[in-house]
Amino acid sequence: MIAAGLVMLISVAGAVVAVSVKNIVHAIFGLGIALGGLALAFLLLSTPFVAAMQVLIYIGGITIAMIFAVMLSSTGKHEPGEGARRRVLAGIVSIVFFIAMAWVVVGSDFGPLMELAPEDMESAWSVQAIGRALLNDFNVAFELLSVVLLVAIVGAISIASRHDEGEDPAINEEGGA
Amino acid sequence: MGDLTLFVPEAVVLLGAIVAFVLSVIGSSYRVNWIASVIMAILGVAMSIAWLGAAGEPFFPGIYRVDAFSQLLKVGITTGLFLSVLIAGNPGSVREHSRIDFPMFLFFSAVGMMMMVSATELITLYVALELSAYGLYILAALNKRQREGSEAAAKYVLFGAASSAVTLFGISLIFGVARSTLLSEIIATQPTPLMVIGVLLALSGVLFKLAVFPFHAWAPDTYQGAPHEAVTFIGTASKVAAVGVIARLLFLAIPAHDSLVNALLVLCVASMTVGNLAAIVQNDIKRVLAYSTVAQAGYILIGLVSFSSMGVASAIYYAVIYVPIVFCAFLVVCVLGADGSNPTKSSIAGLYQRSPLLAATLLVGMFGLAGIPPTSGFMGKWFLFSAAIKSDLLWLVLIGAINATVSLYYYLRIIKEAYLTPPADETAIKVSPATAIAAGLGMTLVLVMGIYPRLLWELAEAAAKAIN
Repeated sequence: MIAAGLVMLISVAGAVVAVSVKNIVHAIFGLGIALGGLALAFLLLSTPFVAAMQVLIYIGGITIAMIFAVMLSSTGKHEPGEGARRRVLAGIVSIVFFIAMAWVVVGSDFGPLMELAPEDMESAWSVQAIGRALLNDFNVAFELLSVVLLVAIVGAISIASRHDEGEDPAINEEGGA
Repeated sequence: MGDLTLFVPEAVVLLGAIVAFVLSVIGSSYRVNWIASVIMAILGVAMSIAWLGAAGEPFFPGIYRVDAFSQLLKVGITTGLFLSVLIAGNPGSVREHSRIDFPMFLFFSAVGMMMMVSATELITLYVALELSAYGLYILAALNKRQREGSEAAAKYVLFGAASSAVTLFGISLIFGVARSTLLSEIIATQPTPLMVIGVLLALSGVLFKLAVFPFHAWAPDTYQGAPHEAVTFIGTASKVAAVGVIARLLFLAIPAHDSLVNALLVLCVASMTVGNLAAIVQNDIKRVLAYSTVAQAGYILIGLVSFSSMGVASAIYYAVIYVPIVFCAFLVVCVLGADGSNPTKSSIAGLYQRSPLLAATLLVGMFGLAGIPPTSGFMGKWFLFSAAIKSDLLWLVLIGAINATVSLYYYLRIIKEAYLTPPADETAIKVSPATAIAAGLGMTLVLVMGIYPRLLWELAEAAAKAIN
């Protein structure tokens, strides 16, 4: 219980850093901490494989990709932040949403899933079980993901190749999508 | 595994994407690629129509369902794809060296949409949704005027990614309650408050695609900045797919939960009103069409919030007839903006003298959007409003009718410019044969489905029964 609380604390602290600091590299660092906290949470829930994936993909992949994106795009310019009124409004919306969600989640009955013994939990989320699920029930999604990746890669190349026409030189000021 | 032949329509469209990809890689000319794409798109439409009566599950049980509902929407999606490809013979607004890739992304996106309307499992549904979205994000970025294209795509991607994250959160809540991602098992679960929140959050990703208020903020800027041919596709096929997914997801919450209905009612009224009021002040035709999309999404929601078989049928009917109607409007935008610029109200002036065909196409499109008989837009609104009245939502129909009247103002003003204002430049506009054929097809579809709505309406009713 104490461990769970600590892990949540780390995640939330990282998330707060990620959204509150001005420097974007610090924000990414905060995000990394939050994601690391989530990986620990998965470990506590005795799903080591998902925890490993969390570290591999999110901390190893996403945050590094973000740092690259920051490095490769023009830095040093800080856009003025949102006005105070919008910040307050956004804060109110977030707090109301959080209270409503917490209220509903706490009042919900998740059924026997909560009573799964730790050793059953481990076999339910083992690599074998996930692999079997991906190639059986979820094979359509699995195959389709490869098409999604193909489209993303070809699309990125298509957008990035701009050795042309010189129709609008202003493009170099801002990155594409 | 089930009967794989049920997957033929999707497979043909996927094959079209592969053909376009190969032709692009071996460096063929755009003309060749375009002709091949048109042929593949025709095949796609033909297969979708031929497979209209198909029913069953091509893959593992519960994952993917082919039924009257999915097949009718696939006909709508492939029709949108075909029409969009047909007018892209010389896509002036797409930047030159990306042109060769243009048809490929249309096809990939269409595959995603077709799989979206058949998916009956949340993860498959989500991946298909992303496939269709990625294609559209890329298409939006390929504008010849690159700064605008980047802005269009960046806004589309950012809003899309945010709403997609919300959708995933909603799906995880649904999974938490139902402990399954199969729609058939989720329906069997007792709906709890958490489930209702989950469905509502999961819906936001598709409401974004449909550009329903408050998920509409991307639409005007993306419509304005994306290539005309890409917007034609975004404005037609993707709406059909979105309506399909919303209908499927809403039936998860049956018996209709009051709070869900109320939330959707608010979105419905807000969409109609905000869309129509904002459209009035726009000068750029593409922005007018973008806000008109927001309003039209509100009309479609009228059918869905009626929560009856007839309501769903009328929403499906409207989504399908909406494809040729909007297509007619965008065809004129594509021809007038062939140099890459965005047509404004003044560039439409005197269109009748410059090209009677284009003026007629615009007339049919605008009458369809406004819902004036004998276009199919009138029948579509008629079905939507009667479904709402049957569900005791008379006040909603009144708001819809007021909005339809408001919208007449800006639709008819465009027509007035085209027919009554003398042109500033009297040179005739050249329309390529393929575009002329597309215009003829679009107008025929709008008028035939308006005068003879029965066939499509029966299909829509069968579709609504299939999802129940």
